[in-house]
Amino acid sequence: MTDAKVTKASLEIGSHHAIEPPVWTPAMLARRRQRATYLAVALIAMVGLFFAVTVVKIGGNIVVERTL
Amino acid sequence: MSDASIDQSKSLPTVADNFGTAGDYIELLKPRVMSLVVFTGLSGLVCAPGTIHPVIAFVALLCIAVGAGASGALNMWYDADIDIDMERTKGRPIPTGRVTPEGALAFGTTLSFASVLIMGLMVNVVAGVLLAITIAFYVFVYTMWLKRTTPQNIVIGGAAGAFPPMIGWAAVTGTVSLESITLFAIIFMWTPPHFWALALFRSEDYRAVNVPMLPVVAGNKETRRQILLYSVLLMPITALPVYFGFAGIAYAVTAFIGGAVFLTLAFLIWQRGDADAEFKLAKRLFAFSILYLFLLFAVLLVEQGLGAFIPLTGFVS
Repeated sequence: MTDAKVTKASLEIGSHHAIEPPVWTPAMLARRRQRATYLAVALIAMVGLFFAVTVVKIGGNIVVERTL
Repeated sequence: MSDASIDQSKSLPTVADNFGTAGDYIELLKPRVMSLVVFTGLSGLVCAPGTIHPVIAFVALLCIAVGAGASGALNMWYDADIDIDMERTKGRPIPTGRVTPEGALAFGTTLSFASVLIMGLMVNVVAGVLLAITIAFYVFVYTMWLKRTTPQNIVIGGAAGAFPPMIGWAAVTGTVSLESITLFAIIFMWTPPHFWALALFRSEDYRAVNVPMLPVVAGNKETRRQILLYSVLLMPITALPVYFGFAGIAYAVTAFIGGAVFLTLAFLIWQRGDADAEFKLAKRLFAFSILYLFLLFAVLLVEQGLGAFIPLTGFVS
């Protein structure tokens, strides 16, 4: 997609694949790295969140069980 | 999206490539809209009777935010063919080539499913179902069906933006109640005058892409009349939280003063015929309507969340 013009036709789903395969420039690679970093942070945050929710939910049940 | 009449020679400035940055993907989520949605969702959550663990409340708000953002991304994907021709939207990530349509579709779909699933599993099923309805309504009913077919698009489609306080409420109670429907109704009735004010000064944009917004189809005079009509209908609905007892004196005063300003602007727009005054007033009403909704829900939040609730009945007696 290097130096591609954005036209209405190019907005169609699948239209890009018919033109040419992407050529990875250093700028594109840097952006990919940035996206990957953000994604990794989001995934780690999700793991932390899932853990916290599990503790909250199971924690409550353990208290109830001990009370019983 | 396919249209044989599309002028394929028309293009925007050249872009080096279309593999966007993380910021471009965040822009797809419509962060400004998302912030208002989260805010109204938080109000529903705080106003609801009962308690919710802070972690679960955070998850609920996160899911509301992500779900709203996902529907925004799907809206941008579907509307890319008209966004490219509209002044207000031509700088969005897809028309400028920073994100591919495929990328936006995949991004929006993934986040939609993830937010609904997490809401359903970690908060409760009712909140998850309401979030799924919200996303589906915005994407399928508003974006794909109503927007391009009827001038009532934002009247019916406005329901999608009105769901968040109900979702917040359901996150705490696990139910849909009359009080949460009241919060829904406030945003539902607020949406037409808000969007028609925008449409009045952006009508050329909509006309250019054949979107049948009310000013394009029925003219500015009828739009001004409808703005006044819906503004009048909105006022008694904003009083319902006081009637149902979950809003107090501060809310009542805010709703009364804000409503008076809102009605005055709507009345002036209806009265003024010339284009210049109409545009200025429409811009003013559009800006004020955002502040108005923000204030209504902010006061609800302060009253319920910070213990500043003084019931109107107690105050009067």
